[in-house]
Amino acid sequence: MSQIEDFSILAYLHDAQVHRLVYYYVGADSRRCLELLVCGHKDCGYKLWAKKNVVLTFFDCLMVGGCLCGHMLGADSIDSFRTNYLLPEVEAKVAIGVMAGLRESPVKISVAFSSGTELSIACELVTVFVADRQDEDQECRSL
Amino acid sequence: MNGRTLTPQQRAEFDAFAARAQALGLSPSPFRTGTWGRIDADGRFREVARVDVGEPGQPGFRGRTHIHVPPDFSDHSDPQTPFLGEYQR
Repeated sequence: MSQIEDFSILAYLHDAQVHRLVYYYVGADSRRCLELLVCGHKDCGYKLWAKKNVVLTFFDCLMVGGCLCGHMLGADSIDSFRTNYLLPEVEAKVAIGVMAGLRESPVKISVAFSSGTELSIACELVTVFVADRQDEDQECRSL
Repeated sequence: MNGRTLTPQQRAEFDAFAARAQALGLSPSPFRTGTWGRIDADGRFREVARVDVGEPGQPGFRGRTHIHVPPDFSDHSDPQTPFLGEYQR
């Protein structure tokens, strides 16, 4: 697992098939985390992620917002990531929290899926982990 | 489009794809520009075709305009690739 410093690398996850999105609590003080498991497209252009299960973890989320579109049948995939950008409604909520004294998150990132799902995340850091297929029982071979 | 501002050329690529999809009787996804399909009897959207308009400077297929059409939907196809049923009428 490694921390992502250069977020431009996430562009290689375009068309990665989305398998799982999990919001969970971790550690003694239950920090909020969002985990996104995708399968890198075979032609993604980044060998380490091609046809691999890639787990992105957004750690210590201050705010997660947006809209999950569930109207579509069939696989969903990553369209794009946009760094230093939050959807306006999420940005407004973060601003309210910061005004109240909460510490602002260093990472602001939004992700759009091909279904129309859009999520904005303000968090402490983002890590990436390329999982063995044995570790993650997901269908990556179909790509 | 994730807050993205389209150039006139990118807009034209979306519009050209939309014209082809409409000619085949497809409907646009209400939630994502460039996605076309059909709403089935169960009231759910089945994606049939999608255009991803490239964003200059982005690596991989994120930076190149391509389409997704059956039968190899997950493949990145050239924008001129016929839809299933197109040109066969």
